[in-house]
Amino acid sequence: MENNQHKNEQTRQGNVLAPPVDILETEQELVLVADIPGVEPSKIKLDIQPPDFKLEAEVVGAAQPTTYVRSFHVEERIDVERVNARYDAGVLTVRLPKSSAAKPRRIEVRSA
Amino acid sequence: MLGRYSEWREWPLLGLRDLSKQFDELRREMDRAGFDFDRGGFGLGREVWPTVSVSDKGDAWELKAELPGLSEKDVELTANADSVTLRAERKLETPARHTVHRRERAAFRLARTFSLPTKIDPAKVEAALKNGVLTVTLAKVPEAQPRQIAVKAGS
Repeated sequence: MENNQHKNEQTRQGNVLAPPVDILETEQELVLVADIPGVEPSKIKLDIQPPDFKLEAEVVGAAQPTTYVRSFHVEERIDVERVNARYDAGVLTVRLPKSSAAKPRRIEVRSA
Repeated sequence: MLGRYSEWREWPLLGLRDLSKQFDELRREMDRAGFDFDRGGFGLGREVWPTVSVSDKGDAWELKAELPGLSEKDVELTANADSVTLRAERKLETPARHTVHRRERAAFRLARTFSLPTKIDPAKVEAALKNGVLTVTLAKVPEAQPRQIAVKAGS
């Protein structure tokens, strides 16, 4: 996943914050973890259209309108249908399963 | 931020006057671009948690701290007659068989004491942790609560 910060630049009301994000990978999936405290799970918008990945969430009850925004390039082929997200204690975890074509495949070499 | 370098302007050496002006310009440019001089890096917003704010709610002080990823057991609060101390710790572990591509979230350990402008009642402190935000309500002692004074027309 490549950072795609420049795409965030557009006019917006209030504060726009880029939350800290961790990106991990296993053989099966990419895992994106973001610290976005103070939002309602229903107010989290995830827009995934490979290779674009965009996260947007509005902070509830902030003194001035505040939005978390981050976007990335997703390099791996992602099975968009199976992407799932969980928000717990202010931390968003998005799991992006790789499509079978992108998974490493072990090829057995047989002797003739 | 700029103030720290303002004494350079008074430097009597030739050329430094202009140099400091350029430096200020550069600094302003970098501030605009998000460079954080105190941490020595370009910040992607807020990297170091937590952010804490204290506000006056009239009959109480309200302390809000952003503590993403923490549960009640990671947070310790102690209140005195005129201060409150917040202790919290966040550990980060990489699960097994995961490759790390990007690591911006930070582990932290914090112990901060906030002096309050008025006395509070330590028995009337309430705290709640929701969606990674800790909200502490510290009721002021009755003497410190605002009182509305009726203005009478003079004779």
